[in-house]
Amino acid sequence: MSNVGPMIEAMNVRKAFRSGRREIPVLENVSLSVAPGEILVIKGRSGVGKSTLLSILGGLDLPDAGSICINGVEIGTLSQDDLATLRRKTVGIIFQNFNLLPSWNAVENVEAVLMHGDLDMAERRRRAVSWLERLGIGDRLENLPAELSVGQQQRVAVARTLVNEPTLILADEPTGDVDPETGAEIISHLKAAVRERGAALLVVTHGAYPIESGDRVLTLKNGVLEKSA
Amino acid sequence: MKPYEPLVTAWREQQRRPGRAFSLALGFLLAVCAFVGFSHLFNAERLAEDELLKRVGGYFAAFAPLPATGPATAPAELPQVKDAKEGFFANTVLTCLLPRSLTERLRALPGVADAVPVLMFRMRSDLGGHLFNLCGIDMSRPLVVGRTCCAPSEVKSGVFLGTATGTGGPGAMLDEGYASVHSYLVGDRIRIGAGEFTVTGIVDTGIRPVRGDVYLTWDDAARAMASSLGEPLGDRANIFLIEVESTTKQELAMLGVKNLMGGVINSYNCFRPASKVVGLNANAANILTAILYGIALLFGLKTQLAAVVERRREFGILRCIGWSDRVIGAQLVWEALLPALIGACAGGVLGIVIAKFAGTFVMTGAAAGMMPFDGGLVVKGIALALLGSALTGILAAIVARRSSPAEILRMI
Repeated sequence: MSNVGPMIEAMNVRKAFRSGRREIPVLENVSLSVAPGEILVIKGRSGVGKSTLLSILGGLDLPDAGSICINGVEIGTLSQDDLATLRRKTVGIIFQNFNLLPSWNAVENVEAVLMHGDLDMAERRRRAVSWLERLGIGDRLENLPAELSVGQQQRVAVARTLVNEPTLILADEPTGDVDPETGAEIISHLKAAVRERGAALLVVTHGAYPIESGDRVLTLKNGVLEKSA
Repeated sequence: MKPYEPLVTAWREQQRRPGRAFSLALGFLLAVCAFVGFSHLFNAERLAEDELLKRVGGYFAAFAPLPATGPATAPAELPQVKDAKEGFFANTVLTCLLPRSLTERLRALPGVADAVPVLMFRMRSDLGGHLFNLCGIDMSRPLVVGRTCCAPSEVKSGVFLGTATGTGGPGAMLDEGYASVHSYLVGDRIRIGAGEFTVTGIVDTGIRPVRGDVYLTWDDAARAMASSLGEPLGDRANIFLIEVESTTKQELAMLGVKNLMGGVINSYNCFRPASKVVGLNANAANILTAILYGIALLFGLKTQLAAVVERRREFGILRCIGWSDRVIGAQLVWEALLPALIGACAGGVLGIVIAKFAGTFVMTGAAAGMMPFDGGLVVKGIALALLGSALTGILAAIVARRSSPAEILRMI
């Protein structure tokens, strides 16, 4: 773990959803921080708000209260364009349901993250292919997500996140739908990003992800973040 | 992302959804094809009609009745005539004598191609005492005179005015009816005012805005009229023959002339209804084209908006991975433009082919040979299609921008 300032820091984050007049609290004064080179695992049962927390930390959603700083920048003050830039350059998100573009093939899905940068098309293709090959699906480059197995889709989603070399990786059940062997491969790639590039990794899981892989483990329960035993 | 890359991505999108791309392109193909095809057909028809109308009504006669009212009709003392039935008449109207220099001002009016002055004087014959119309023609513009008053092709016997040689004196050209009633033949002598003239030609002009019984050259007519009146005319005329640039500009020219002279315009009667028919056809073409474009645009907009709704998840994902609204918007605009461009180009070519093909079946006579290729119409059709599709793309981008990425992902 590094001794420099946190890559991400959340302070007293609150979030509730409304259903008619009823307010359903999801997150209650959640505070956390992840330093560069650190892996934080947040575990919790389904429906406790893990994915919501990840969306808020990734700047996809706004909290009702509290603040989130990424790399020292308070993201609540950023415009939509600045948030997009932040997600593009700093944050990589692995979604629980992968969120692959259904009409784009595997390699195009991975390339999509690089399209905003300065890389030319050939270099983008080279990097995307390289990551898909490293994750063992180099032979399925031209397949649409619907033509891939769930595990293969998971690997495309991981490749899409890692190809851009983000310094903050937010992963929602990154090994939830793959066999143990593939899960281990994915974990090793995520860990490599942390160890080799000093990225911060925050994983939320209901238990599929091996918590021993984390430097710290917290539990989200009733909207409150607790230290795990 | 390089500036051209949204275009590349948009092209890929067309390949991913060929059915949607095809239907969008087809809509614009039909609209532009109809626009180009109809416009070419109507242009050809308009040219043909214009050509026809030019032969029957692309000209008129203008004069200022007494008392003078127009700005160009400076008050002038009319020469005193011995007989109340004599005078500078146009049809049955007694007219002002106007400066001949007015011709230049008339020529400068919008819609006017040319103008020539005419002297038309009703006088009593010294032989028999009958009244006849003496017409003095300015022969410096024979083509305009030919189209508006009398032409060499209308000569029934002898030669056209001013072309006779070796007659031994000044020549006169007589209207066929007048010559017949008074038994004049080519070579006979006729006394007009104080002068003696040889009949050099007999002409049948048909229906014309200005029609005389006896035609003389300008100088001969002025002398004859002066001798009859007992005073010089000065450099003045009482009728101006106007040739218009085209039948579609005839009303514009008439308005300008009327404003300048405050006079009465004697138009060939066939012009007005025929001109209106031309206008109606052009309007019908414009309305039809506008309806087709409207349908194509609505169809394009519906397809684009449906695609945005259908692809909400896709846009949500793209925003999650860092695509800005600007880039997504640019891609949507390109996605709208590409099928429109392809469809419009194909429609332009098809429109010309259909117009050429249809022209040979639909049109007859002069129109069949008048199907000029108008590249400007094709460019206009394509530009309209692109403009419309860009608008639909922008609307789609605005709709796409309204969705929050987290909300979209939560809903799916």
